[in-house]
Amino acid sequence: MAIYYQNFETFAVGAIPPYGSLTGNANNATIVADNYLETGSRAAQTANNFSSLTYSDGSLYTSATLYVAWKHSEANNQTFLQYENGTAGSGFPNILTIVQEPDNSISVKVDNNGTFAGNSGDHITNLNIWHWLQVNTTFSAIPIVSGTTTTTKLGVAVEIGLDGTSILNTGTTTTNRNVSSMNSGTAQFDRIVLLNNSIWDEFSFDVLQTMNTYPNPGVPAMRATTALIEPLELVDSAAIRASTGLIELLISNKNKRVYEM
Amino acid sequence: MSDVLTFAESWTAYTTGTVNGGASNGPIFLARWTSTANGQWSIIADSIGQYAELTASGVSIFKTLRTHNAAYTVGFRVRIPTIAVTSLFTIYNNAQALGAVSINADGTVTLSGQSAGVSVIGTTNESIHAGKWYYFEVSISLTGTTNINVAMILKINGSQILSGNINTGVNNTNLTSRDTTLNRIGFAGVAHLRDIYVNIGASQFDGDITIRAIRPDGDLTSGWICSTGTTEYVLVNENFSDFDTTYVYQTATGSQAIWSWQDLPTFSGTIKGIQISIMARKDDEGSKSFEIVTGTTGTETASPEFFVGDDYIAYFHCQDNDPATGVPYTVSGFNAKPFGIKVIS
Repeated sequence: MAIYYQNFETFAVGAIPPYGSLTGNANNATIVADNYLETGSRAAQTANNFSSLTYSDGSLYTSATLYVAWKHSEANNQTFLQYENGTAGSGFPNILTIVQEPDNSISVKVDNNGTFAGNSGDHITNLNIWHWLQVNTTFSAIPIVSGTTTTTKLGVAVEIGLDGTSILNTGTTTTNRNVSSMNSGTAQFDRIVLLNNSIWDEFSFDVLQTMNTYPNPGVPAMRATTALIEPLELVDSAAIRASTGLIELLISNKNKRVYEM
Repeated sequence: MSDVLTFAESWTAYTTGTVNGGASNGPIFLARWTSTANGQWSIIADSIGQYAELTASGVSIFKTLRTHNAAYTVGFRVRIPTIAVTSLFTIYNNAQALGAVSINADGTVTLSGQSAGVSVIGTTNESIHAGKWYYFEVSISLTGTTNINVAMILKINGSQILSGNINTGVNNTNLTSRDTTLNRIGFAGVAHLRDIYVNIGASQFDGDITIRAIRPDGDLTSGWICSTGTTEYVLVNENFSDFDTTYVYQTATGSQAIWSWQDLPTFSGTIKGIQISIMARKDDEGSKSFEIVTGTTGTETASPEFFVGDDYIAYFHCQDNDPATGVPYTVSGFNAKPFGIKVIS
């Protein structure tokens, strides 16, 4: 059972007000009527880089699973998911960002300076296509010993699943962030922010970390609607066609003689 | 040896007309391609098939390839309506260009080791003509790490006219993949394009090929359920996808739908490879996967396992050879070969 589940069906179409643990950007996070999966509506955000939809239930989490239906209309290095510790204006809340790259792969970047932690490589998403996205996150405190001094850095591990298969597992990345400098002073997060031209539905938040844990598991059937084979033919019997012949003579006419062709 | 053919595009699976973006409003089969140039490219029909038309300077279409590799060979038939300075073809690691073919104001062609005009490798002596179809083939091969060296070969109409290499100044630790690989192609400028192939590896030239399109024409193993009627192949053989109007569906693991396919007309030459595409989705929450299978029992060979989403996407699988013989398909061998789909999980 998920800690929080939201299919947005009880929301009015239009701007998203603060609603329990969810808070929409006042101007740009909107609910759009939809018949996705034959039922319900979905949360949608307009094309505004500052639009966002934030989940925060007041608790701090060390590890968690986000499970959500997601589609994205832009792949130009756009961050579509962000994990935060504390709120904007209270230091550097951003501790994890997830980005769709121009090649439609997904990258994980940690800390507020965007340190690269991993890329999904050959696993790509499709723009404007619904995907089931699962994000397992684990934050940890990693002691770094230097001489007689020990500092504790934030460690971040992320596994991303797409449509039921794991496409990226970063392992633990040690960031440059001192845990003591984080807003909570602990290696945890308390806010998940969905943002930037992305559309969401069936939002589910849990502490389970099992890949493919659907809040309402269905029994889907495969559908195939069109089949096609494209053979590459290299013909070896092509003929050359010659249509017109012409010789152009460059004549020096200093002797005033005229040649006929 | 694994197949070198990794992607082909005949443009014959698409409805004609203006394409908006990569998928949302245009022909959904175009989930293969992406572009932010809404309304600035089109699919055009002519007497021999269909081609893509890029209609504005600066317009690009992109294809992310299935795998990262250090070398690719790409072929495409192109017609430039008006000769002008333009980027024509670029290959990337994510957003970093690592090889380009561009057209100059005098119609000559330039190879570059990054984007068009950056890290120039060389320029042809002769020019191409406006409004004429040419078959371009480009081999791009990367070596080194700090920095990456790009070696390129250009053939036009089967003749090698330019080759060389250059130190790009690009460090592979700055690439998204963190390795010396390529994974994405793009076409740009005002241009007409058809008969595109992408082979893995350097100098994997197929020659001046034509790509046809054929569709199922009979049921052999009817293991899937019909959305209407009892004949499977008529639900999946439309020229342009009808999405949920007619389809076949199945939940049970291991169930196969295997079809016979239209015959290729006899020709003298070689089948350099085939690409089998299935447009599929699932209809509820939970994961579902399938494979494209070959042969009467579906066991000669299978594609990678495709995990499908909730929207229709074209899943495709390429073969260089007839898996029954290990050599390229003959026309008769191909015409006799069944292909189909199988539920994996």
